[in-house]
Amino acid sequence: MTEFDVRKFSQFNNMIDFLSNWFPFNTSVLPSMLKASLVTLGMAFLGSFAGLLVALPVSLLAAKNTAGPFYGAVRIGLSFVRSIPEIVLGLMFLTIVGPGPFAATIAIIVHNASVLSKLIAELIEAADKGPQEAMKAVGARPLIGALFSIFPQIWPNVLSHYFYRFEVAIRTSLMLGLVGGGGIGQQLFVHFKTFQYQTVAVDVMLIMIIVIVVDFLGSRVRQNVM
Amino acid sequence: MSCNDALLIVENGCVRYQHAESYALNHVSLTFQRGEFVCILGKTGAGKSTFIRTLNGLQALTEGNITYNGRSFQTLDREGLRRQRKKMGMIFQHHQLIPRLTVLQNVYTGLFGSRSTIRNMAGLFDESEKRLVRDVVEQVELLPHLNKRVDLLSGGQRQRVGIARALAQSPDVFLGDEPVASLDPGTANRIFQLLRRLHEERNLLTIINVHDVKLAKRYASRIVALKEGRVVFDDRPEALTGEIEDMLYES
Repeated sequence: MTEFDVRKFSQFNNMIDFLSNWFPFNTSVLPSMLKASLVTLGMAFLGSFAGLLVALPVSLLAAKNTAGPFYGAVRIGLSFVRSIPEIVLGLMFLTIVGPGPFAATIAIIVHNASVLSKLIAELIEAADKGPQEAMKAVGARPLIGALFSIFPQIWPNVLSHYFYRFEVAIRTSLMLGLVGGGGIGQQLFVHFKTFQYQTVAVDVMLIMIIVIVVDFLGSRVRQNVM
Repeated sequence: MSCNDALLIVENGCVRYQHAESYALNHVSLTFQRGEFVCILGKTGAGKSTFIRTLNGLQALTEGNITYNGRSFQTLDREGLRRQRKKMGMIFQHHQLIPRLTVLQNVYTGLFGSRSTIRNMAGLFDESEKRLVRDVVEQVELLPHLNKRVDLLSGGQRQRVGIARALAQSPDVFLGDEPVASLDPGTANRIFQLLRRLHEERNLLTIINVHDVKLAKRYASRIVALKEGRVVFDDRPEALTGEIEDMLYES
Protein backbone atom coordinates (compact mmCIF):
# COMPACT_ATOMS: atom_id res chain seq x y z
CA MET A 1 0.00 0.00 0.00
CA THR A 2 2.77 2.45 0.93
CA GLU A 3 5.19 0.98 -1.65
CA PHE A 4 7.76 0.69 1.14
CA ASP A 5 10.86 -0.82 -0.43
CA VAL A 6 14.36 -0.44 1.07
CA ARG A 7 15.93 -1.36 -2.27
CA LYS A 8 14.82 1.97 -3.68
CA PHE A 9 17.49 3.63 -1.50
CA SER A 10 20.03 2.40 -4.05
CA GLN A 11 19.18 5.66 -5.89
CA PHE A 12 20.69 7.65 -2.97
CA ASN A 13 23.20 9.27 -5.36
CA ASN A 14 20.35 11.15 -7.01
CA MET A 15 19.78 13.11 -3.83
CA ILE A 16 23.47 13.96 -3.48
CA ASP A 17 23.51 15.15 -7.10
CA PHE A 18 20.39 17.21 -6.46
CA LEU A 19 21.77 18.82 -3.28
CA SER A 20 25.10 19.58 -4.94
CA ASN A 21 23.20 21.92 -7.26
CA TRP A 22 22.36 24.07 -4.21
CA PHE A 23 25.95 25.33 -3.86
CA PRO A 24 27.20 28.00 -3.82
CA PHE A 25 24.32 29.89 -2.22
CA ASN A 26 22.92 32.74 -4.26
CA THR A 27 23.37 35.46 -1.62
CA SER A 28 22.40 38.25 -4.01
CA VAL A 29 18.72 37.45 -3.32
CA LEU A 30 19.20 37.66 0.45
CA PRO A 31 17.69 41.17 0.95
CA SER A 32 14.49 40.36 -0.98
CA MET A 33 14.25 36.89 0.61
CA LEU A 34 14.67 38.43 4.07
CA LYS A 35 11.70 40.67 3.27
CA ALA A 36 9.68 37.62 2.13
CA SER A 37 10.74 35.81 5.35
CA LEU A 38 9.37 38.69 7.41
CA VAL A 39 6.06 38.38 5.53
CA THR A 40 5.96 34.66 6.39
CA LEU A 41 6.85 35.38 10.01
CA GLY A 42 4.14 38.05 10.16
CA MET A 43 1.54 35.68 8.69
CA ALA A 44 2.47 32.95 11.14
CA PHE A 45 2.55 35.29 14.15
CA LEU A 46 -0.70 37.10 13.38
CA GLY A 47 -2.39 33.84 12.38
CA SER A 48 -1.43 31.97 15.54
CA PHE A 49 -1.81 34.94 17.93
CA ALA A 50 -5.25 35.96 16.64
CA GLY A 51 -6.13 32.25 16.75
CA LEU A 52 -5.10 32.21 20.43
CA LEU A 53 -7.22 35.30 21.19
CA VAL A 54 -10.25 33.60 19.65
CA ALA A 55 -9.44 30.28 21.32
CA LEU A 56 -9.26 31.64 24.90
CA PRO A 57 -13.00 32.42 25.25
CA VAL A 58 -14.09 29.58 22.94
CA SER A 59 -12.15 27.04 25.04
CA LEU A 60 -14.34 27.94 28.04
CA LEU A 61 -17.34 26.90 25.96
CA ALA A 62 -15.60 23.70 24.86
CA ALA A 63 -14.59 22.40 28.30
CA LYS A 64 -16.98 20.11 30.15
CA ASN A 65 -16.56 21.88 33.50
CA THR A 66 -17.18 25.43 32.21
CA ALA A 67 -19.26 25.06 29.03
CA GLY A 68 -22.74 24.41 30.34
CA PRO A 69 -25.29 23.52 27.64
CA PHE A 70 -23.01 24.60 24.74
CA TYR A 71 -20.44 21.85 25.24
CA GLY A 72 -21.61 19.35 22.61
CA ALA A 73 -22.34 21.90 19.89
CA VAL A 74 -19.05 23.77 20.37
CA ARG A 75 -17.02 20.53 20.34
CA ILE A 76 -18.69 19.36 17.13
CA GLY A 77 -18.16 22.79 15.53
CA LEU A 78 -14.46 22.75 16.45
CA SER A 79 -14.00 19.22 15.10
CA PHE A 80 -15.64 20.30 11.85
CA VAL A 81 -13.37 23.34 11.39
CA ARG A 82 -10.28 21.36 12.43
CA SER A 83 -11.00 18.69 9.84
CA ILE A 84 -10.62 21.19 6.97
CA PRO A 85 -6.97 21.25 5.79
CA GLU A 86 -5.36 24.70 5.99
CA ILE A 87 -4.58 24.60 2.28
CA VAL A 88 -8.30 24.16 1.52
CA LEU A 89 -9.14 27.03 3.88
CA GLY A 90 -6.48 29.11 2.11
CA LEU A 91 -8.01 28.36 -1.30
CA MET A 92 -11.48 29.23 0.05
CA PHE A 93 -10.38 32.60 1.44
CA LEU A 94 -8.35 33.26 -1.68
CA THR A 95 -11.60 33.34 -3.64
CA ILE A 96 -12.91 36.07 -1.32
CA VAL A 97 -9.92 38.36 -0.68
CA GLY A 98 -7.71 37.43 -3.63
CA PRO A 99 -4.21 35.94 -3.62
CA GLY A 100 -1.63 37.11 -1.08
CA PRO A 101 -0.72 36.93 2.60
CA PHE A 102 -4.15 38.10 3.83
CA ALA A 103 -5.99 34.97 2.64
CA ALA A 104 -3.24 32.78 4.08
CA THR A 105 -3.35 34.62 7.42
CA ILE A 106 -7.13 34.16 7.73
CA ALA A 107 -6.75 30.46 6.97
CA ILE A 108 -4.11 30.17 9.72
CA ILE A 109 -6.30 32.10 12.18
CA VAL A 110 -9.32 29.85 11.58
CA HIS A 111 -7.36 26.62 11.82
CA ASN A 112 -5.37 27.67 14.88
CA ALA A 113 -8.45 29.00 16.68
CA SER A 114 -10.06 25.57 16.40
CA VAL A 115 -6.93 23.60 17.33
CA LEU A 116 -6.01 25.85 20.27
CA SER A 117 -9.63 25.89 21.51
CA LYS A 118 -9.58 22.11 21.78
CA LEU A 119 -6.13 21.99 23.40
CA ILE A 120 -6.94 24.74 25.93
CA ALA A 121 -10.36 23.17 26.67
CA GLU A 122 -8.55 19.97 27.62
CA LEU A 123 -6.20 21.92 29.92
CA ILE A 124 -9.26 23.57 31.53
CA GLU A 125 -10.86 20.17 32.13
CA ALA A 126 -7.67 18.86 33.74
CA ALA A 127 -7.06 21.93 35.96
CA ASP A 128 -7.03 21.43 39.75
CA LYS A 129 -10.61 21.65 41.04
CA GLY A 130 -9.54 23.02 44.45
CA PRO A 131 -9.10 26.69 43.47
CA GLN A 132 -12.35 26.51 41.46
CA GLU A 133 -14.18 25.35 44.57
CA ALA A 134 -12.53 28.13 46.58
CA MET A 135 -13.83 30.72 44.08
CA LYS A 136 -17.31 29.23 44.44
CA ALA A 137 -16.95 29.45 48.21
CA VAL A 138 -16.09 33.19 48.14
CA GLY A 139 -19.26 33.78 46.12
CA ALA A 140 -17.50 34.64 42.83
CA ARG A 141 -19.65 34.52 39.70
CA PRO A 142 -18.94 31.43 37.56
CA LEU A 143 -17.12 33.34 34.78
CA ILE A 144 -14.85 35.19 37.20
CA GLY A 145 -14.29 32.01 39.20
CA ALA A 146 -13.25 30.13 36.07
CA LEU A 147 -11.02 32.93 34.76
CA PHE A 148 -9.12 33.46 37.97
CA SER A 149 -8.92 29.91 39.28
CA ILE A 150 -8.17 28.10 36.01
CA PHE A 151 -6.15 30.36 33.71
CA PRO A 152 -3.29 31.14 36.12
CA GLN A 153 -2.87 27.36 36.59
CA ILE A 154 -2.80 26.47 32.91
CA TRP A 155 -1.05 29.55 31.52
CA PRO A 156 2.45 27.98 31.05
CA ASN A 157 0.86 25.07 29.15
CA VAL A 158 -1.26 27.47 27.08
CA LEU A 159 1.92 29.31 26.07
CA SER A 160 3.64 26.03 25.33
CA HIS A 161 0.79 25.05 22.98
CA TYR A 162 0.81 28.54 21.48
CA PHE A 163 4.50 28.53 20.61
CA TYR A 164 4.19 25.06 19.12
CA ARG A 165 1.28 26.26 16.98
CA PHE A 166 3.31 29.36 16.02
CA GLU A 167 6.07 27.04 14.78
CA VAL A 168 3.50 24.93 12.90
CA ALA A 169 2.00 28.13 11.45
CA ILE A 170 5.38 29.00 9.92
CA ARG A 171 5.37 25.68 8.08
CA THR A 172 1.69 26.15 7.18
CA SER A 173 2.36 29.61 5.73
CA LEU A 174 5.06 28.02 3.55
CA MET A 175 2.52 25.52 2.25
CA LEU A 176 0.00 28.28 1.68
CA GLY A 177 2.65 30.03 -0.40
CA LEU A 178 2.22 27.23 -2.94
CA VAL A 179 -1.35 28.39 -3.56
CA GLY A 180 -0.48 32.07 -3.81
CA GLY A 181 -0.35 32.89 -0.10
CA GLY A 182 2.78 35.04 -0.48
CA GLY A 183 5.87 35.12 1.73
CA ILE A 184 8.95 32.98 1.41
CA GLY A 185 6.81 29.87 0.77
CA GLN A 186 5.65 31.31 -2.53
CA GLN A 187 9.25 32.33 -3.41
CA LEU A 188 10.47 28.81 -2.60
CA PHE A 189 7.81 27.34 -4.88
CA VAL A 190 8.73 29.70 -7.73
CA HIS A 191 12.49 29.07 -7.31
CA PHE A 192 11.90 25.30 -7.33
CA LYS A 193 9.74 25.40 -10.40
CA THR A 194 12.34 27.50 -12.25
CA PHE A 195 15.28 25.27 -11.12
CA GLN A 196 17.00 28.11 -9.22
CA TYR A 197 18.43 25.69 -6.67
CA GLN A 198 21.12 28.09 -5.37
CA THR A 199 18.32 30.47 -4.45
CA VAL A 200 16.25 27.58 -3.03
CA ALA A 201 19.18 26.95 -0.66
CA VAL A 202 18.93 30.53 0.63
CA ASP A 203 15.15 30.14 1.10
CA VAL A 204 15.59 26.88 3.05
CA MET A 205 18.33 28.36 5.26
CA LEU A 206 16.13 31.35 6.12
CA ILE A 207 13.18 29.07 6.92
CA MET A 208 15.37 26.97 9.22
CA ILE A 209 16.66 30.09 10.99
CA ILE A 210 13.08 31.36 11.54
CA VAL A 211 11.95 28.03 13.03
CA ILE A 212 14.99 27.80 15.33
CA VAL A 213 14.62 31.43 16.50
CA VAL A 214 10.90 30.97 17.24
CA ASP A 215 11.61 27.75 19.15
CA PHE A 216 14.34 29.51 21.18
CA LEU A 217 12.10 32.51 21.93
CA GLY A 218 9.27 30.19 22.94
CA SER A 219 11.39 28.31 25.42
CA ARG A 220 12.70 31.60 26.92
CA VAL A 221 9.16 32.96 27.36
CA ARG A 222 7.95 29.68 28.91
CA GLN A 223 10.91 29.70 31.32
CA ASN A 224 10.01 33.21 32.48
CA VAL A 225 6.33 32.36 32.90
CA MET A 226 6.73 29.07 34.83
CA MET B 1 -30.51 29.19 72.99
CA SER B 2 -33.56 30.43 71.20
CA CYS B 3 -33.96 30.09 67.47
CA ASN B 4 -34.36 33.88 67.31
CA ASP B 5 -30.65 34.36 68.16
CA ALA B 6 -29.62 31.76 65.64
CA LEU B 7 -27.47 32.75 62.69
CA LEU B 8 -27.36 29.33 61.07
CA ILE B 9 -29.91 26.56 61.50
CA VAL B 10 -29.69 23.04 60.10
CA GLU B 11 -33.00 21.19 60.22
CA ASN B 12 -33.09 17.47 59.65
CA GLY B 13 -30.18 17.74 57.19
CA CYS B 14 -29.44 14.64 55.15
CA VAL B 15 -26.94 13.96 52.39
CA ARG B 16 -26.91 10.73 50.47
CA TYR B 17 -24.35 10.51 47.67
CA GLN B 18 -25.27 8.86 44.40
CA HIS B 19 -24.92 5.06 44.53
CA ALA B 20 -24.15 5.18 48.29
CA GLU B 21 -25.98 2.72 50.49
CA SER B 22 -26.00 4.88 53.60
CA TYR B 23 -26.36 8.56 54.47
CA ALA B 24 -23.19 10.67 54.64
CA LEU B 25 -25.21 13.02 56.83
CA ASN B 26 -28.14 11.52 58.63
CA HIS B 27 -30.96 13.75 59.88
CA VAL B 28 -28.73 16.35 61.51
CA SER B 29 -30.43 19.22 63.34
CA LEU B 30 -28.21 21.91 64.83
CA THR B 31 -28.54 25.60 65.62
CA PHE B 32 -25.56 27.96 65.70
CA GLN B 33 -25.38 31.54 66.88
CA ARG B 34 -22.93 34.38 66.42
CA GLY B 35 -19.99 34.27 68.81
CA GLU B 36 -19.80 30.49 69.02
CA PHE B 37 -16.52 28.74 68.22
CA VAL B 38 -17.64 25.24 67.27
CA CYS B 39 -15.35 22.31 66.56
CA ILE B 40 -16.74 19.31 64.71
CA LEU B 41 -15.16 16.03 65.75
CA GLY B 42 -15.44 12.56 64.32
CA LYS B 43 -13.30 9.98 62.64
CA THR B 44 -12.65 9.87 58.90
CA GLY B 45 -15.88 9.21 57.03
CA ALA B 46 -18.08 10.42 59.90
CA GLY B 47 -19.57 13.16 57.70
CA LYS B 48 -17.62 16.19 58.98
CA SER B 49 -16.54 17.51 55.57
CA THR B 50 -19.96 16.84 54.08
CA PHE B 51 -21.54 18.75 56.97
CA ILE B 52 -19.25 21.79 56.63
CA ARG B 53 -19.77 21.89 52.87
CA THR B 54 -23.55 21.88 53.25
CA LEU B 55 -23.37 24.99 55.45
CA ASN B 56 -22.38 27.25 52.54
CA GLY B 57 -24.15 25.22 49.88
CA LEU B 58 -21.04 23.70 48.28
CA GLN B 59 -22.84 20.43 48.94
CA ALA B 60 -26.62 20.40 48.59
CA LEU B 61 -28.76 18.61 51.16
CA THR B 62 -30.77 15.72 49.76
CA GLU B 63 -33.33 16.18 52.56
CA GLY B 64 -33.89 18.86 55.19
CA ASN B 65 -33.12 22.55 55.17
CA ILE B 66 -30.53 25.15 56.15
CA THR B 67 -31.45 28.66 57.17
CA TYR B 68 -28.79 31.39 57.25
CA ASN B 69 -29.58 34.83 58.51
CA GLY B 70 -33.30 34.06 58.31
CA ARG B 71 -33.16 32.89 54.68
CA SER B 72 -33.81 29.30 53.78
CA PHE B 73 -31.39 27.72 51.27
CA GLN B 74 -34.35 25.83 49.78
CA THR B 75 -35.87 29.06 48.53
CA LEU B 76 -32.66 30.27 46.88
CA ASP B 77 -31.65 29.86 43.26
CA ARG B 78 -27.98 29.64 42.22
CA GLU B 79 -27.53 33.42 42.31
CA GLY B 80 -29.22 33.63 45.72
CA LEU B 81 -26.92 30.94 47.08
CA ARG B 82 -23.91 32.78 45.68
CA ARG B 83 -24.99 35.93 47.51
CA GLN B 84 -25.29 33.98 50.77
CA ARG B 85 -21.78 32.58 50.38
CA LYS B 86 -20.29 36.06 50.19
CA LYS B 87 -20.55 36.38 53.96
CA MET B 88 -19.36 32.86 54.72
CA GLY B 89 -15.57 32.60 54.65
CA MET B 90 -14.19 29.12 54.18
CA ILE B 91 -10.75 27.65 54.69
CA PHE B 92 -9.74 24.26 53.34
CA GLN B 93 -7.34 21.49 54.31
CA HIS B 94 -5.34 21.88 51.11
CA HIS B 95 -5.67 25.68 51.14
CA GLN B 96 -7.14 25.72 47.60
CA LEU B 97 -5.10 28.81 46.73
CA ILE B 98 -4.54 29.82 43.14
CA PRO B 99 -1.03 28.69 42.24
CA ARG B 100 1.36 31.07 40.50
CA LEU B 101 -0.48 34.08 41.93
CA THR B 102 0.97 36.13 44.78
CA VAL B 103 -0.28 36.34 48.36
CA LEU B 104 -1.84 39.73 47.58
CA GLN B 105 -3.58 38.50 44.41
CA ASN B 106 -4.98 35.45 46.22
CA VAL B 107 -6.33 37.58 49.05
CA TYR B 108 -7.97 39.95 46.56
CA THR B 109 -10.01 37.02 45.23
CA GLY B 110 -11.84 37.03 48.58
CA LEU B 111 -13.53 40.25 47.40
CA PHE B 112 -14.81 38.77 44.14
CA GLY B 113 -18.23 37.83 45.46
CA SER B 114 -19.18 41.38 46.37
CA ARG B 115 -17.97 43.18 43.23
CA SER B 116 -19.12 43.50 39.65
CA THR B 117 -17.76 41.16 36.98
CA ILE B 118 -16.27 44.08 35.04
CA ARG B 119 -14.40 45.46 38.06
CA ASN B 120 -13.10 41.98 38.86
CA MET B 121 -11.98 41.36 35.30
CA ALA B 122 -10.28 44.73 35.05
CA GLY B 123 -8.65 44.30 38.46
CA LEU B 124 -9.96 47.66 39.66
CA PHE B 125 -9.92 48.02 43.44
CA ASP B 126 -10.75 51.18 45.30
CA GLU B 127 -8.76 52.56 48.23
CA SER B 128 -10.99 51.03 50.91
CA GLU B 129 -10.67 47.59 49.30
CA LYS B 130 -6.90 47.91 49.06
CA ARG B 131 -6.78 48.93 52.72
CA LEU B 132 -9.00 46.01 53.73
CA VAL B 133 -6.79 43.51 51.91
CA ARG B 134 -3.63 44.96 53.41
CA ASP B 135 -5.22 44.88 56.88
CA VAL B 136 -6.19 41.23 56.66
CA VAL B 137 -2.75 40.27 55.34
CA GLU B 138 -1.29 42.14 58.30
CA GLN B 139 -3.65 40.33 60.68
CA VAL B 140 -2.37 36.95 59.51
CA GLU B 141 1.21 38.28 59.76
CA LEU B 142 2.10 37.85 56.11
CA LEU B 143 2.97 41.44 55.18
CA PRO B 144 6.64 40.57 54.47
CA HIS B 145 5.43 37.98 51.93
CA LEU B 146 2.83 40.18 50.25
CA ASN B 147 4.24 39.83 46.73
CA LYS B 148 5.57 36.31 47.03
CA ARG B 149 3.97 33.55 44.96
CA VAL B 150 1.85 31.29 47.16
CA ASP B 151 3.41 28.12 45.78
CA LEU B 152 6.71 29.25 47.33
CA LEU B 153 5.26 29.47 50.87
CA SER B 154 5.25 26.86 53.65
CA GLY B 155 2.07 24.92 54.52
CA GLY B 156 1.37 27.12 57.56
CA GLN B 157 1.89 30.32 55.56
CA ARG B 158 -0.41 29.05 52.82
CA GLN B 159 -3.11 28.36 55.36
CA ARG B 160 -2.69 31.93 56.61
CA VAL B 161 -3.26 33.15 53.05
CA GLY B 162 -6.43 31.02 52.98
CA ILE B 163 -7.54 32.66 56.23
CA ALA B 164 -6.76 36.14 54.87
CA ARG B 165 -8.78 35.39 51.73
CA ALA B 166 -11.74 34.35 53.86
CA LEU B 167 -11.31 37.46 56.06
CA ALA B 168 -11.34 39.68 52.97
CA GLN B 169 -14.95 38.58 52.54
CA SER B 170 -15.73 40.40 55.85
CA PRO B 171 -17.59 37.25 56.85
CA ASP B 172 -20.19 36.65 59.55
CA VAL B 173 -19.42 32.94 59.49
CA PHE B 174 -16.03 31.25 59.30
CA LEU B 175 -16.02 27.64 58.12
CA GLY B 176 -12.98 25.38 58.23
CA ASP B 177 -12.75 21.99 56.56
CA GLU B 178 -9.88 20.35 58.45
CA PRO B 179 -7.66 23.42 58.04
CA VAL B 180 -4.81 22.05 60.16
CA ALA B 181 -4.90 18.38 59.14
CA SER B 182 -1.79 18.65 56.99
CA LEU B 183 0.20 20.83 59.42
CA ASP B 184 2.62 19.90 62.21
CA PRO B 185 1.27 20.24 65.80
CA GLY B 186 3.08 23.53 66.51
CA THR B 187 1.87 25.20 63.32
CA ALA B 188 -1.64 23.77 63.85
CA ASN B 189 -1.72 25.30 67.32
CA ARG B 190 -0.59 28.71 65.99
CA ILE B 191 -3.26 28.60 63.27
CA PHE B 192 -5.92 27.85 65.90
CA GLN B 193 -4.63 30.70 68.09
CA LEU B 194 -4.98 33.01 65.10
CA LEU B 195 -8.47 31.73 64.29
CA ARG B 196 -9.58 32.14 67.90
CA ARG B 197 -8.19 35.70 68.05
CA LEU B 198 -9.88 36.70 64.77
CA HIS B 199 -13.08 35.01 65.92
CA GLU B 200 -13.14 37.13 69.08
CA GLU B 201 -12.12 40.39 67.40
CA ARG B 202 -14.86 40.06 64.80
CA ASN B 203 -17.52 38.28 66.86
CA LEU B 204 -17.89 35.57 64.22
CA LEU B 205 -19.65 32.25 64.17
CA THR B 206 -16.76 29.83 63.60
CA ILE B 207 -17.34 26.18 62.71
CA ILE B 208 -14.28 24.03 62.11
CA ASN B 209 -13.71 20.33 61.44
CA VAL B 210 -10.77 18.97 63.32
CA HIS B 211 -9.24 15.58 64.06
CA ASP B 212 -7.22 16.68 67.07
CA VAL B 213 -9.43 16.43 70.16
CA LYS B 214 -6.93 18.38 72.26
CA LEU B 215 -7.10 21.36 69.90
CA ALA B 216 -10.90 21.22 69.92
CA LYS B 217 -11.01 21.13 73.73
CA ARG B 218 -8.50 23.98 74.05
CA TYR B 219 -10.11 26.41 71.62
CA ALA B 220 -13.79 25.53 71.10
CA SER B 221 -16.70 26.97 73.04
CA ARG B 222 -18.84 24.09 71.79
CA ILE B 223 -18.04 20.67 70.40
CA VAL B 224 -20.27 18.72 68.05
CA ALA B 225 -19.32 15.11 67.34
CA LEU B 226 -20.51 13.09 64.40
CA LYS B 227 -20.54 9.35 63.96
CA GLU B 228 -21.79 7.69 60.78
CA GLY B 229 -23.42 10.96 59.77
CA ARG B 230 -25.36 11.42 63.02
CA VAL B 231 -24.79 13.90 65.84
CA VAL B 232 -23.73 11.87 68.86
CA PHE B 233 -22.43 14.71 71.05
CA ASP B 234 -23.25 18.40 71.25
CA ASP B 235 -22.06 20.20 74.36
CA ARG B 236 -19.34 22.31 75.97
CA PRO B 237 -15.77 20.95 75.67
CA GLU B 238 -15.61 20.08 79.40
CA ALA B 239 -18.43 17.57 78.89
CA LEU B 240 -16.43 15.54 76.35
CA THR B 241 -15.25 12.60 78.46
CA GLY B 242 -12.73 9.90 77.64
CA GLU B 243 -15.56 7.41 77.19
CA ILE B 244 -17.23 9.59 74.57
CA GLU B 245 -13.88 10.01 72.78
CA ASP B 246 -13.39 6.24 72.78
CA MET B 247 -16.90 5.76 71.40
CA LEU B 248 -16.22 8.36 68.66
CA TYR B 249 -12.98 6.90 67.44
CA GLU B 250 -13.60 3.17 67.97
CA SER B 251 -13.31 1.18 64.78
